[in-house]
Amino acid sequence: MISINIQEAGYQPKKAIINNIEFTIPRGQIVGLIGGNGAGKSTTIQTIMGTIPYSHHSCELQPYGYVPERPILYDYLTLREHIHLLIQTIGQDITELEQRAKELCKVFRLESKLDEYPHNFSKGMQQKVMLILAFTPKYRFYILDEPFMGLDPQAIRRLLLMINEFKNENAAFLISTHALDTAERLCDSFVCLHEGKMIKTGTLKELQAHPSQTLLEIFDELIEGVENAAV
Amino acid sequence: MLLFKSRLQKQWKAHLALFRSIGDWAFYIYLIIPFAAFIYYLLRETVFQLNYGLIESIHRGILIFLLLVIATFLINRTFSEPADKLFLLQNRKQYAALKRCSFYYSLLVNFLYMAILYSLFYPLLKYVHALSSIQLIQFAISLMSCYLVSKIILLQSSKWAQFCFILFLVVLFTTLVFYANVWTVVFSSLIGIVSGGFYEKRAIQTHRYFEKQTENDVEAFYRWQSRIFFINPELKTLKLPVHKAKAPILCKQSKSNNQVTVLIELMLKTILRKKSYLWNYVRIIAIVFPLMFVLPWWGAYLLIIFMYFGLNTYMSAILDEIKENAIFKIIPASDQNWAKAMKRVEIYMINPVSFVYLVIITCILFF
Repeated sequence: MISINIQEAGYQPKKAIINNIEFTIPRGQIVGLIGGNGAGKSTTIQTIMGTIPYSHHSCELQPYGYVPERPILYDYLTLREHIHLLIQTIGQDITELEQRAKELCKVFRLESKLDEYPHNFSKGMQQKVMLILAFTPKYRFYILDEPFMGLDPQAIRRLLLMINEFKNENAAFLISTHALDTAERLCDSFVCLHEGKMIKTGTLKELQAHPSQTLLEIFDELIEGVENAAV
Repeated sequence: MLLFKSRLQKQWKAHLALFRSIGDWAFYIYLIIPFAAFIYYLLRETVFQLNYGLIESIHRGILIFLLLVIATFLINRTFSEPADKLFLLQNRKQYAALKRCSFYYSLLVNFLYMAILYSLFYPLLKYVHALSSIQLIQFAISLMSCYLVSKIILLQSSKWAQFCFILFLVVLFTTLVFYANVWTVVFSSLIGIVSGGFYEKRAIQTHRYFEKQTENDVEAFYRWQSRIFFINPELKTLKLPVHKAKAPILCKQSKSNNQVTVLIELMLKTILRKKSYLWNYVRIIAIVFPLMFVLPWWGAYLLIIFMYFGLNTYMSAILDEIKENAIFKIIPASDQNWAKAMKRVEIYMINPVSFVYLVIITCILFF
């Protein structure tokens, strides 16, 4: 189980963007991080990863897989070289990694693009490269920041299958997304953020006022509640 | 005139800010004093004593050709900015006035550069190559005319046509120097004057070359920044956008089999594939090579030492930039392995060149 406890964090000292965010990610579970634009989802992820300049938080992480919000690529390496760099750096069994990378390239239909620069790919294809790099090694924990952005429907379906496959192998996931209908079907529990604060956490059932209430309706209600309370 | 003044001030303020961000006055004094001493002794032992070393063995035709080629590299500034398309282009007279002032400014600055170049080579051409007075006058006018005509060619044609026209122009003016008489001097002067007039009519009074002139000017504005960028990573924000490259043809296979070698491979491939990295490296080496033969032996050794430290600084800057790439957030490598890989790349890229240059200069000295 991964326990996350963020007292405060931000990009400048003493100018916190997020406050008092506390939740756990059990093994074999998918936690959805949901919130509007500027709610603090990416800042929360960066704090968990320890890449934010200012933070007071406690979170012990083993090596993990990460899909960033915007594709991070090296301009002067081909897709094959990106994979090679990952395989040589990661310290896992090389033959197994090569096999997995090959399978993932096939799944995301990028086998014919191996000798091209991913920098020149379309946005969706670059996102697929990020997924290949994140899922080639096997980890116990994955952080996916807007993983569905720019993907075509087939790729989304394949990604969902892959996440479930890894989940069944006891891996934990933290997924930040705006695609609430997908999140509703995929995630086991949710952390709702608004203006840098955690407004609610729990499973879909725990959040629902009645059984037919969708995640979008729950989220709308929560935001309205917070804003009305502020008025 | 006011607009030109403000843009010129902006340019110099940017230069000053750039130099201040690199070092303080003490740093520049430490740099300027040995450099000035080096230049003084170099001139004293070469130009003032009519001792040009191996340059003397270069055929005078080739020498004049090369000097005229240098004249075609000089830039005509326009001080135009991309936003002028929105606010200044509509006010045709004001924009033309800005370009006119910029042209006179460029003319003055370039005249100064050409005068320095001419003075450096005047003793060689007059006393060693025995050029007559009329030939020397023809050469001076050819320098000016070559520079002016090349600026019109650069506005008019495609890259290949530019290359062919400039080659023809330089060959023509080189030939004129050897067959110099009053008529060729008059002819060259007329070409220069007509080019100046043509530039005024086509490049100043009309705005049809706005995009090209602005692109060239923005490049000229950031020239110092882009050169010094490599030794001052704080200037990253001023870097020009990355151009998209086609798939690589060479070195597609990966031979590395551990973290250190994969990092070495990454750095070497980056240097090979990023043109600015490669060309700046080649430029440093290529500039030093001919200078080694021209300078006195002590100057050549000093130059190799400068090149060694210069390459060291340059390589460190490049490798630090590679290491800071965001990709290493998702593919982490240990600092220890980075340090090992960087050290080895520096050794591969600097030591063999410095060693070969040292051997060459030592061989020249003793044999």
